[in-house]
Amino acid sequence: MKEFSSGKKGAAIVMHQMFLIMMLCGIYGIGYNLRRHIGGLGILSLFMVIGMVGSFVFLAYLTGVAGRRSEEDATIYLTWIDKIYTDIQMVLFVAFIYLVLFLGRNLHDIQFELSGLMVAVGTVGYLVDVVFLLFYMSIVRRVKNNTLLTHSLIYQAGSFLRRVFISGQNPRLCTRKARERYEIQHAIEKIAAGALDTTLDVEQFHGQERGIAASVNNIRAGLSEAIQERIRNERMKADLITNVSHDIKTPLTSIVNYVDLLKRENLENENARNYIRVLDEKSQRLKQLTEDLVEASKISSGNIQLDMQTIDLVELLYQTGGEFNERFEARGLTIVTKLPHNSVMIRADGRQLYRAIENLYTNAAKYALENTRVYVDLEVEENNAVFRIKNISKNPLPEQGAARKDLTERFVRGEESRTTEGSGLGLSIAKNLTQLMGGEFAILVDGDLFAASITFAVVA
Amino acid sequence: MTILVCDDDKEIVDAIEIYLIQEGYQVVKAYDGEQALDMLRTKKIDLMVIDVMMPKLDGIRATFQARKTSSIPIIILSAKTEDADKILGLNVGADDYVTKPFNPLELVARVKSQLRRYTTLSSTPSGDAVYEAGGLVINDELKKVTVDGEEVKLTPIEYNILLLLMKNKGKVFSISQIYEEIWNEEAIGADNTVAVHIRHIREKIEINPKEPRYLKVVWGVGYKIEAGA
Repeated sequence: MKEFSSGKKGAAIVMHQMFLIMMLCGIYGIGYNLRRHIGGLGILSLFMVIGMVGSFVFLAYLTGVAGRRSEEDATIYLTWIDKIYTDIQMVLFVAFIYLVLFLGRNLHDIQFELSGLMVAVGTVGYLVDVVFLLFYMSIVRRVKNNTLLTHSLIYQAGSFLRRVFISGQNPRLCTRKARERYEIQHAIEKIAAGALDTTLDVEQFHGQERGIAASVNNIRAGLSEAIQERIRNERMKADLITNVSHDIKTPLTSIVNYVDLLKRENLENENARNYIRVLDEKSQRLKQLTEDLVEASKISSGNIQLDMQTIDLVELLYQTGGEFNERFEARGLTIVTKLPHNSVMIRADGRQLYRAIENLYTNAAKYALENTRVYVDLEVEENNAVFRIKNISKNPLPEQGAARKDLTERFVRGEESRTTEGSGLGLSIAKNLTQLMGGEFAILVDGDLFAASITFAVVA
Repeated sequence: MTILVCDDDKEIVDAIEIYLIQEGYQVVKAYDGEQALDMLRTKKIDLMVIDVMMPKLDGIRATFQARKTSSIPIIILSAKTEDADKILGLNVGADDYVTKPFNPLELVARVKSQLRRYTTLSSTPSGDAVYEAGGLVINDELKKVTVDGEEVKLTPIEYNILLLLMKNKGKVFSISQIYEEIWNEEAIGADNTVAVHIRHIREKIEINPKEPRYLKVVWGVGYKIEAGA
């Protein structure tokens, strides 16, 4: 690796200055000798030419390596002097040149010996060159860094005015501090809204704002970590439930089968027949429970693939009605269906939406008071398709907030006791499925009236 | 007819054996995939019922191996209910899939159906008025519907609906389309009628009407006969 170390650059500067002084001495020596008609012009011209060539060679080298640290590293490293706005730097440099010229004019009036002249020219030349090099190298670095024009007071002022008057930005945001605060505020709002991939580039901020930006980043990282952790836990829970359910299913298969075999044994004993009936019912319920459990945990952890299509909600409700009419009739329930004559198109996964609505129908079929009516209707309200199912509950329903909210939580049914059929997961499954597909699910309880609704946006 | 039953749970194998013997089948038992493959090689087996999760060689691999040399019907038993598992099972060459805990009568019905299908496959009648989808055949000349060779009694309306769907296999018909085709009148404010008939047809032609093999419900769109059934 070829390095452009400060030592090398320093040596080049010294060499450049030596040659420059040599050139100046040559020029001034020639002038002095010509004026006094002294010879020795040849040696002085040689001095001048060598000085000129040498100083240019080293200046060219310095131009090449300005701002660089090695051949491989293409980054341009700026120094303190490059932070001064270009135009201000130019004004300073021009002022300095004027000062030198002003002093130099006085210098002309004084008559020197040759040796004295050489010393004076060398000293002044050296000083001017130091300032020139500082200025020149800085300009070169800016050109290389593409900031020659943009890092100037005029440009910054222009862009300030453009932002205020043309882009219409709030003038209060035009100071760096205000802008940085605004950016931080913006990021916090985005994080609060759930965009947890929002990060602030701390390097872009200054002073106090840098600290705030770093803290915002830390909070975001912590929050994101916590949510990831929660998703992982939810997945693990779902996996655990699935695995345990699989393990339960194998012995359950034997129980179901052997209870069925016992039933076929034509037992004489009335008690034994009763016991078998209980075993049969409970094993069937256990079977239902394990299946619902796997479903509910899969759905609530979002571990389910949706096939979203444009479907007709009216068609789906007629189809569902066809599946259920006999189950309702068996309990003396009458379905009163009121659906629009035309199609109502929504975006949903038909199979999953059926499962959600099926659970609501099942719920009504199981828990509605015998010989009552179950009302099913679909209405389009402000571009929303609202499906409602209402029934009179056979058991008292929880009236108060917390218990009612529990209706859609897992394992809770309308009644306190858990002796009847069903797993109590139906409403929870229906709610989670509806929400996964972007619909709204609501439950309303008023005395013995139980009403559930599913709302989807209508698509044209 | 000899049926090979393979599961690592001995009690499950024994229970299945009892049901199958009651139906007049002979049963050979195996308790892992390797044993099952041995039996397939050494005995004359007409159908295999095999569990997925087993030691030594699981049911999926055993099915895959068995399919290299045998074309007998294979029914997979599994505690997993995910669709992906079913698809995997059917892809490696199984003919049917039953999830645990299964209803023993359903398993027996599936065994019977697969055997009938296997033995009557060659003698499927063909003609202009015969429509078929897998084991489901409608002979419109005789007005006869059979599933895996066994006749199914449908009402005239059920028959006409099934015929319409069978004539257009794979095409989805909405409730109003079916209504207009069968009743020959415009469907003004349809009702559950068509859906109820469809469910009755399913209950007659499907082993498990909740998971139909032939007459599929496309929720929110309509009904169709599975083209590839």
